Amino acid sequence: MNAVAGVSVVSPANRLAAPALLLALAAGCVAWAWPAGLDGWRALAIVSAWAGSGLLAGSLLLMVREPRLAALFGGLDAQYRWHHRGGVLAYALLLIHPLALAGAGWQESPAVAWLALAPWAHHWPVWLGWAGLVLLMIGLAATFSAHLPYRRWRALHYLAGAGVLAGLGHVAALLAQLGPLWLLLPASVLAIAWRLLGADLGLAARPYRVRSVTHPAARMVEAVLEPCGPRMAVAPGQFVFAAFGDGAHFRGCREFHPFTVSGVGDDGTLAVGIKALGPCSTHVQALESGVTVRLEGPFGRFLADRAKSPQLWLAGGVGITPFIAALRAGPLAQPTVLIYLFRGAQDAAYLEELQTLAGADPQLALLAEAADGPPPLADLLGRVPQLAGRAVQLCGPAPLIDAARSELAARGVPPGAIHFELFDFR
Amino acid sequence: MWRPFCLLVLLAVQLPVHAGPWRAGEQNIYGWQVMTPDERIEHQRRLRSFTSYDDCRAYQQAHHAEMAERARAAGVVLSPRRQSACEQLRAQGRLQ
Ligand SMILES: Cc1cc2nc3c(=O)[nH]c(=O)nc-3n(C[C@H](O)[C@H](O)[C@H](O)COP(=O)(O)OP(=O)(O)OC[C@H]3O[C@@H](n4cnc5c(N)ncnc54)[C@H](O)[C@@H]3O)c2cc1C
Repeated sequence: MNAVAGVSVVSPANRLAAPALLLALAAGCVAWAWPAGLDGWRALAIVSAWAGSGLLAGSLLLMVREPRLAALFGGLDAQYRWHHRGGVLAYALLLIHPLALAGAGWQESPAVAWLALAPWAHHWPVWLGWAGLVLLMIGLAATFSAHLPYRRWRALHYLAGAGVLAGLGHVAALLAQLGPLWLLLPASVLAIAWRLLGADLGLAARPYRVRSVTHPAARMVEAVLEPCGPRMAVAPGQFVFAAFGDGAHFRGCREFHPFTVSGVGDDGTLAVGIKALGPCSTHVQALESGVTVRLEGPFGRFLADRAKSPQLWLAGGVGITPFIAALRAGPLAQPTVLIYLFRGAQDAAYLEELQTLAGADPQLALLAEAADGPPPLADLLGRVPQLAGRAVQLCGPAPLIDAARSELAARGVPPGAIHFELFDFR
Repeated sequence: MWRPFCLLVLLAVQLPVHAGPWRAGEQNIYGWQVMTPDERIEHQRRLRSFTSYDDCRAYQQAHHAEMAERARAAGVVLSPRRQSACEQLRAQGRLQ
């Protein structure tokens, strides 16, 4: 079995790579455009505009979904977090830009300040700038709405990409020379093209085919996928983006969605267990063998650091998938307690298999509980011996992870010993 | 892995030595007081877009004439500028 293939270590350099990229681009732009000899407000307008433009281009680069880049930036979730932070900070700086220009006008008269802000008093290069700001605002506002359906969220978020291009067009038109845009424009266009064509349309994806399909629980399907070409080196705990295509009777929704592998076979096969949680994952429940699948990845390093200390694993619902993958990969190296919470007996995916595995492996203790309401965490954690000395791995819905983290902290588990995987980042 | 970032930082440090765009300001634009914010932006854009000194001068003279006319109509006295944008751009090597 392929225990640690493809998982790289996250070093401090990896953690700093994304902020360093943002900082270098912003600082480089500001240094180039440094407004020597200008007064305060105009200088502020110029510095904020260039810092914002550098951050925006960096933020676009951090949107590219590619396994090696994600590993460089310390994981896809960390990369997306910096993508978001870079974008929000850039937007704030770019808002300062017209306001500071109005501030410069105010020193002459309120009328000049007002004219500096009124789009109708300007012509197309300035309109491009306003269009960029408005598009960025809509695209960013969408990311703060947790309840927006995923597809609407994605469509709105793409507007932010159009906003970046409009903003850079504004700079190019006004500057009448390229300067740092030699770097920012191609980098931004490349990042958008790579994301749209390479990741979202799947030109960079690998072809697989569904070999077999089972239903380990109600409203859940597990598919074993075999490679049609070069295989991916995936370790248990990692996830892939999968887009299901067509088969004899099945028409896939062809969108890429992230799924943790639930099994890694010696022959290059990968299993994914998919719970019906929305339109596409519900549609996939009718999957059949022979359907084509495109996979991107692998991503993530959940469960990668478990060789050193005794483990506590906590799974909620479909969050069991990384753990079943690790258990299927062979006997455990460390004493491990697995707490598995599910709503009812019909939702308890892999329960029999887990019980068999626990019976065969003396290192594994299984605590499986049905809980249709607040999880009985206090009781369950009270039953874990030497809790404070364990490395904790959590995977499940965000409310369960939050509750578990505070309960663990109250019981003396240091935050550095707690690792978790969320199933709902965007 | 760090090489791209080091290169970026080096690039950032190297750039300001000679680059940076020429900027319009009260001290180098004749008629600044009688121009709207949009005209100032557009004037800066036009001046930066020239590649030939003669084109720049021709545009600048037309601009001067128009500003002098506006100033007369408004009863404002425009003082001559200390610096000429076309000269500055030529000194930067941006105009032939
Ligand atoms: C790292 C990770 C691992 C996951 N592993 C599994 C797994 O092993 N088994 C499983 O059943 N589910 C897993 N999920 C959740 C699964 O990706 C979503 O349930 C699925 O994408 C839902 O799509 P939908 O169209 O059915 O529903 P939608 O209603 O479109 O989506 C429901 C929610 O899923 C999330 N989501 C949807 N599409 C994406 C996307 N392309 N990228 C990121 N998040 C998205 C969003 O938070 C969304 O609000 C995982 C998610 C992540 C982020």
